[in-house]
Amino acid sequence: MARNQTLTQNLDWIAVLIYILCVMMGWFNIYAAVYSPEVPTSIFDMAHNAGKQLMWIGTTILLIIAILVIDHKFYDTFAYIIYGIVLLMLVAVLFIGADINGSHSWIKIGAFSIQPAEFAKLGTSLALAKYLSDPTVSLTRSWKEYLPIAGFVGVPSLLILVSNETGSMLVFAAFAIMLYREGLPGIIPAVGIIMAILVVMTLLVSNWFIVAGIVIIAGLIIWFMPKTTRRQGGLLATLVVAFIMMGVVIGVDFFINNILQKHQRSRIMVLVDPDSDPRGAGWNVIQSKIAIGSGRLIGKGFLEGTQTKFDFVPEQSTDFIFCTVGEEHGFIGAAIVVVLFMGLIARLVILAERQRTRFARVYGYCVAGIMFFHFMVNIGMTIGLMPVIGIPLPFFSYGGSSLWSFSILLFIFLKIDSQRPYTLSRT
Amino acid sequence: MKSSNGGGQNNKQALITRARTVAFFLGLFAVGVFAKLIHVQFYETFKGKKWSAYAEQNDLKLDTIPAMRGNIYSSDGSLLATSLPYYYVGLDVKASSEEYFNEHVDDLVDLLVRNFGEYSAERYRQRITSIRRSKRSRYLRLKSREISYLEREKVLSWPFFRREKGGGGGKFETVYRRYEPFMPMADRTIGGLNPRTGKGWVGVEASFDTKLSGRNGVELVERVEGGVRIPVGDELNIRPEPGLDVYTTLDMNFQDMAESALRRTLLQYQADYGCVIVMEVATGEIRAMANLTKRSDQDYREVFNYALAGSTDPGSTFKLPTMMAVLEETGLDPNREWVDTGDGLVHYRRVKIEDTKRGGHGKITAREVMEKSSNVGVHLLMQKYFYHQPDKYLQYLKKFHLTTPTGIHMKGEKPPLIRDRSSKQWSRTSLTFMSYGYELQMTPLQTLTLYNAVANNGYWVRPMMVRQIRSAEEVVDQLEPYVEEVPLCSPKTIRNVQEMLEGVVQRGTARNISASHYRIAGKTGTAQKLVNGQYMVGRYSTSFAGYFPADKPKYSCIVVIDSPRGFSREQLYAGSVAAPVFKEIADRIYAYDITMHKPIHRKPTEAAKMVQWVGKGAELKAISKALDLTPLPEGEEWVQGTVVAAGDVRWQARPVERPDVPDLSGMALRDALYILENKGFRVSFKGAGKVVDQSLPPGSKVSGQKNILLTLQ
Repeated sequence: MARNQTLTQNLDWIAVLIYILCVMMGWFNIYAAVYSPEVPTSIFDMAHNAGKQLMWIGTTILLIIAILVIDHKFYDTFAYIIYGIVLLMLVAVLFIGADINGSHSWIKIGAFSIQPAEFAKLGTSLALAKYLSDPTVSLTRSWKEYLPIAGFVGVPSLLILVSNETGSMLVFAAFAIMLYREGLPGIIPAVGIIMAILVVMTLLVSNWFIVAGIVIIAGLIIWFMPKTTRRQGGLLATLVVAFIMMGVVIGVDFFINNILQKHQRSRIMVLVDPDSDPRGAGWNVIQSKIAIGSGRLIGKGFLEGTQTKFDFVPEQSTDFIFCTVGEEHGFIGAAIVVVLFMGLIARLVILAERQRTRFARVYGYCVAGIMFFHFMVNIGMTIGLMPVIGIPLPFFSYGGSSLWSFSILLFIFLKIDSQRPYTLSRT
Repeated sequence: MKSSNGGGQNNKQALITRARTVAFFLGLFAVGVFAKLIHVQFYETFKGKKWSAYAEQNDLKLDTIPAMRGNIYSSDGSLLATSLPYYYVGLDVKASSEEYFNEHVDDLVDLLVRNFGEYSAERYRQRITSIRRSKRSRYLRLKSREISYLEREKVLSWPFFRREKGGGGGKFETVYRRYEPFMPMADRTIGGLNPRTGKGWVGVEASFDTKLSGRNGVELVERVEGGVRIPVGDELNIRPEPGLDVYTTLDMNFQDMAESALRRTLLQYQADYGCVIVMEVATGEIRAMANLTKRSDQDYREVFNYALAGSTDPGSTFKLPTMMAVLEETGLDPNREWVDTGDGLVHYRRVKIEDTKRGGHGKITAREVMEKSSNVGVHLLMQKYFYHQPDKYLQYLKKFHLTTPTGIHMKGEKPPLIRDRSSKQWSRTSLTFMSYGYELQMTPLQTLTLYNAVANNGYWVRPMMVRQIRSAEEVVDQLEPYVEEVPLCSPKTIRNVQEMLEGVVQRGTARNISASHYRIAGKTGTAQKLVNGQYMVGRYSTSFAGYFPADKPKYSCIVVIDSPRGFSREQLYAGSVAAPVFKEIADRIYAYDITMHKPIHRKPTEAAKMVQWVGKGAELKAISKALDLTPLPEGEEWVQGTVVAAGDVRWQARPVERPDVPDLSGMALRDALYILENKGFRVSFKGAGKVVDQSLPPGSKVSGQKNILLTLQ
């Protein structure tokens, strides 16, 4: 189907615009984060993170052009091969990896270091999309259909875990969103979320309140349950679930209070309650909240932040970049960033839903899920809504590997989407 | 349209529901983020304060408190390196009141221009006022370089720095700088700090860095208005542990003597570099280590530690171990073993071996081979005793500690290079060359250590640079000298080579430095320089290694002068360059260290024996009154009394005012010290009681170094 078309034809301009805004805002905020009023440097100074980020942006543009040039069927055809290459990189990093910031997950190529874990998301998304695009595969038919999926997700996440990048591994949970959309029974993500909530609550609230809560809710459910359901095993099921939940609560409580050492306990407690150790493990979160909180409504102004300048907040230009936004641009700036991200994610979901092939839809959901997970955990941790898990904010955080991988992830989808009018529908 | 996952209207409906559920949760999370943002930015508090108020007023930060680096001392107690505080001067421009600022800013600008003068008055004023107006910053460094403690005292009286109503804002940031009071003496031996890391770079600073540097502390500080950091009392604080003090074995007087003698000779001959080490024979303590490198025709500096790391072909100084090996192996009598050196030129396996003296030395004894430093002689002896068993010779070198580093506690000692037969470069003439100091590499310290062992009657002593590590007055670590229990060779061999080394100075190549009042033993060395693998004709490394006094060795010393210019080959070999430096240093050390002097045996005079009391007139008056003795003459400061009969004492004045050496006989040590030190003497003493002998006779005139040894009984 030879067509005369330009590179950018049918590209979704809303997504591209949001993308450009995010990258530019990210760059300015990296500059602000590393800016020091006593030794002012230029935003183009290659010795600092801002200048380096500009170089990364430049190379990213080249990558995007390459993606737009390559035929969209390439990604479908070579999905498994790309996945295989990523796996090889993940294995290689275990042997030739360089240690940077305490994690053994970087491959040094000349002066540059790349982090294969960042690209594992891309490979896994493509492989999953490829696998699910097989019309014979149905997620609602048999649990056996899930085994390859577990393999596609499990192998890279294990490799990433071994290379000590727990944060990047957790990102793989984002595929649950796509799987749910494709027919994963709702009970599974629901149970996962409920368990996570229960564990967190166990840490915060006395477990007798939680047990009492479970008993009351279970009682109410049984009370209002239709008699037929109750007789058909509904009663038994509810009771089993309630007991399992109580078991989890008491088990977690016992584990934390009786098995863990005091310092290990405090490390876990700080995940949910930074104020419990304000000068130790909770330091980052409190300093981050001071920075954001001191921005108030309109912020202190570009380059006027004080918390960020005195290096109170660690990882200022990478994982905690949102602090700079909050401090210098206040609630308005922070809200704009949140709106931009939510807009991008919503747009991705809409684009995914309008795809004609299952490959494209699944891939689109994967991209949306990954963006959402990063956004949720990163911003959540800087404002104290989530435990501190060190993963970057897409397009904002300093770093070549992360900017590259998010841009590739997004633009492959936009490229596939742009070819939608010429794709024969199979769904 | 067929759906891949089941198909049908229901299924499609279910999928739409699922998409909506996802959208709902995303939306829910977005609402959660907004709620939390609003909470954090407008309502949440920490320690009862709004985040914004908290950030503005104060904050907590962990600061490093640098540990004070320890000092380095010489053995005579001089401070060789210490850390002094210096200060950056800064001003918190916004700390003062409007009124105060307007009133005093002109004074400050005026003082800045007059004292620092880095900018014009307008520029200073513009910088200060612009920062006071700006929102962004409030702190300004007033001088780009740090100032000393004394300058800081002056600045303290300036406006904004002195305590005044409405004033304030003046700040000092303390930094420590390393200071060497004797700079540039022994600079390479003492070492310095890496400006980037603050860690020891070379020398003692690097070798003992872990002891010197201590441990940095940490304190939690509250950053309050104006960038001031107030420590918050907290169990989190870790106090810095100051570094330990290192007491070296160096003596700055020795160092001065060594360096000045070396420098003069280097200048005279325009040599490339020179090096001197002075070591105490019995303990291996290094008293001086000087290394001077040519920077320009007039400028020699401490740049590289040749003593430790300057490996070269040692040349003739290496004939000592060869001779020791020959004597030890054969037990021959060096005065009876005759060697025919002929006309001073022989060939061995196409290698030409020749002596410096034209026409050669003829038939000479083994002792004379050493004294005249005959290459041919050494070759012939080696040919006779070792060429058929080269490994035996190498074993001797190993036994003499020449194949391993000395093990001194200093970083950067270069190991010696002595090849054995397994080496690729080994050839059948290697042994020939080695026997007189070629085809091998030794540092001056390694060569000296062998001469020191000979001086110490064959007992090898490890050189040492540091004696004590102290924390204030408390000795943390005492480094003991290491003397090997087994001598390097038999007493007979040692005696023989000691005689030879004395002979070198008495009759041989170094007779130009034979001293009159004490004797020097040693060996000259001249080596052609090995440059890019080629022995260069016309470029020599000359050296002299030895010890003194020869009869009772106290110090060993080596002098190396590299590439002197303007000398004939004969003169070089005659030891005219390095040996005189050795002599000058030895002479000065001998004059300085009176424990080496032979006591002048004089019987105390009868009159001195009869003297009973010597002391201050006023004190003796009280005694004589109490004991009811003959009354003292009036008005004499120092008086001596001789008992004539019971109760009858003849008192005499004992004048000490004259500038020459006073008569101290009969005095208590306290009085003698008082008188001598007032006259500028350096006093040593032995024994207890009253002075019975003094090393400088009464009435003698002394100039320059005034050292005196008192014997008490």
